[in-house]
Amino acid sequence: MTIPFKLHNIVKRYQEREVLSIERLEIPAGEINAILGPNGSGKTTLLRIMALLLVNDEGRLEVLGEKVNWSKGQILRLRRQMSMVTQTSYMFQGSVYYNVAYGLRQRKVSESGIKRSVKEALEMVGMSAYQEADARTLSGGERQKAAIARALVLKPQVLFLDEPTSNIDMASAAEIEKHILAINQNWGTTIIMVTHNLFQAKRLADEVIFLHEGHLIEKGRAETVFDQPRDERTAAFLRGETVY
Amino acid sequence: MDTILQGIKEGFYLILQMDAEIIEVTVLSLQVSLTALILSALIGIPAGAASALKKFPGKKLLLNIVYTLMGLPPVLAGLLVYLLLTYRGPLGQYELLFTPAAMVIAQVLLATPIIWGLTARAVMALEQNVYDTAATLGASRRQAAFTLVREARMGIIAALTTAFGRVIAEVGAVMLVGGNIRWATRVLTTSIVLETRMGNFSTALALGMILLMISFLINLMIIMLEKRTFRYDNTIQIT
Amino acid sequence: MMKLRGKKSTLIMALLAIFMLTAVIGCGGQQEESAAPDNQAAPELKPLKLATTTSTDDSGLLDYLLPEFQKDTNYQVEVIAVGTGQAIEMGEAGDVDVLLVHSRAAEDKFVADGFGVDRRDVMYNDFLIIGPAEDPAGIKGTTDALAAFKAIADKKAAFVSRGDDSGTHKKELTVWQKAEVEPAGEWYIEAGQGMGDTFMMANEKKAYTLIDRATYLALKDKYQLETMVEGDEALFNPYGVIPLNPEKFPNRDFEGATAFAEWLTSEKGQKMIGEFGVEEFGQALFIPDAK
Repeated sequence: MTIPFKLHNIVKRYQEREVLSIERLEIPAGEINAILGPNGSGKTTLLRIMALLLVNDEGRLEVLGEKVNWSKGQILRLRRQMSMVTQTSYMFQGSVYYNVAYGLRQRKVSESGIKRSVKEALEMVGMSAYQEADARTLSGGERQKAAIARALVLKPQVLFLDEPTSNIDMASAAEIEKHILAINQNWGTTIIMVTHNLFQAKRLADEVIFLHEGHLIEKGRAETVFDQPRDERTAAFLRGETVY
Repeated sequence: MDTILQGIKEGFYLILQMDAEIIEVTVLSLQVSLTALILSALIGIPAGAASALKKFPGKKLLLNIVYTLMGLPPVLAGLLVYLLLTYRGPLGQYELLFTPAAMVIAQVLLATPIIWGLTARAVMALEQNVYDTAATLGASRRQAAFTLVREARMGIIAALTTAFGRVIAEVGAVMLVGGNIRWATRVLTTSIVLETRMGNFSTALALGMILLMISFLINLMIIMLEKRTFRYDNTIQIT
Repeated sequence: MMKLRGKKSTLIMALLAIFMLTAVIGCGGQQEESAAPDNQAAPELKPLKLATTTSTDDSGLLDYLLPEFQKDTNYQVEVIAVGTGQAIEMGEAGDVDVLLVHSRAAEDKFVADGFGVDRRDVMYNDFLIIGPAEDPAGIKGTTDALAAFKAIADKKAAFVSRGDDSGTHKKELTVWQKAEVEPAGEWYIEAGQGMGDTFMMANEKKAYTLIDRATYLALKDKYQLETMVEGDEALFNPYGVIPLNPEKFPNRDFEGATAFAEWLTSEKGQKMIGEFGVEEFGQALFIPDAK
């Protein structure tokens, strides 16, 4: 399966206002994709639809090779092959261990298996020392790293990121970017990332998607699209002007 | 003021003597109210969570009714159960009137709306992010529901302590459906009424003190149980 | 998911479960549950539900008679003490086996309507009019109850009524009727409570009230009201015992109810009734008058 996401004529409305309208979008496997655009352009909506957290009002959605019919069984099955890290990841009440173990527990993995995997995941993000810490006492950077471990430990095919480094210190942000690259390179995980940070997008992404007022206005390879945007609105956005 | 102090003093003496009837009455109070609490929790917590999470027609109306029933007068609950269980009533053939079982039923009627309503509120206070996180980590609907209830546990524990306080202290329901029968359906609250009626104020005060002590101990146990299962403190730090 | 840590909390859970189960097991039949201290090698005790009035129960007569009855017949009487009205209701509903009340008119109707059978006289006690020492209506010492009630109404002196359709209340209304007075107004307070509570309220409000001798003797030391009027036949209060009609209520224990009625009216029962209160108060609280 080379194309984990296929969107045809996807429309999402919020109280009669169209917030997302995409005629066609295909995302191939194994790449890092960045979704960019001004506020209100529908980035998070698009992400949540792809992550199967939001039901589209119109159109056809294919995820991981399956046509999505939103049945309970299918959604659960598909979700269990993906995971997500949001801007301020919610930590469940309890230890970091509990949080990282959460996804594995839902999948009924054995306790000994969980112990091993959690240890590995925390090592990967450099948070081993925090295993028994209260998840609520972590700093912003620590929390995001824990969230990454929590998502990673599940070895997902697709990893969604919604502004994962917006609120944290530079050092942690840099570390997290390293992890994102490593995940993609070592495991071939498809990464779909919403970000405000153009530089971050340039650093990490293979493919970049631009949204504007709910529409897909540009899509291209990271090497070229920043220097030669085809759409005037994209260019204005890249220049830093507010685009209406 | 004199009578009260005198009464409290005599009350302590009576407690120390630990007379058989006082023990019986105390034990029955606990049995009835704890059983009612547990049954109400088994109904109310899932119902509350479901009411909060599912979309269905009449949802607002249902919740409004539940909130209203939180204030159901105990004596009214007692009357309703009485009418159900009386010989000529719909459940008369089970001969449950004037038994502890009837008292439990009446108290379940009182406690369930409280637990239901407060659980619903506690779950509704959670943010969307909580569900999203659980879902994207692969929780099924049922698993996510459990997780939401777990994350709302502070509110739910409050619901349990409130409901318990309500039923251990009520007298209207247990008096009507239990009949305050000596050695059979007499509990702390109905005994207080009886002793007061007979003018034995010190005994009545003693029973009242026992009631408060028990309430205190049970609430303590609930809190300790919570501390044991969840080691992490979630109170807000203020400086 | 929620994980219970430690053996201690499991132990607590287990104890709670056991505690709860004893309630459930005990909740069907009361005999096994009964912790009454007199039950050493207890032979099979049969339960008997008696509906009676709060004033009867509060007098202590039943606590005195019933253990003896239990010894003689192995019936363990479960006393449900409510107002007369409710006691009769419970009889009509079939929720009890036998009634012991003091409201002749209501009792006769109960039997006439077929709810009860074999009504027997048991005893009578009498009522007193009690009131504050100041005696605003000036009735202390008179033996004419009707005149006393009239005086209270004329002077609009505070009077607390049971107001609960009980035997006492019905008696009070009968006296008002005979005195040709309709009690109404701010001075006439309808309490809607049992005799003990009414006594307490009358005491607080320094008011007159009608009270049965037994309750008065038992409680008078706690309150400051005094005897105003006694001895008038209009204030006599006869008790009747009525088993429930076995044809209408086959589920009730007619045999037990009859045993109770017969015991109360037997020589032994009557003797015990006549002795009750003599030691403590110097006078009998009830006069046995079974025919």
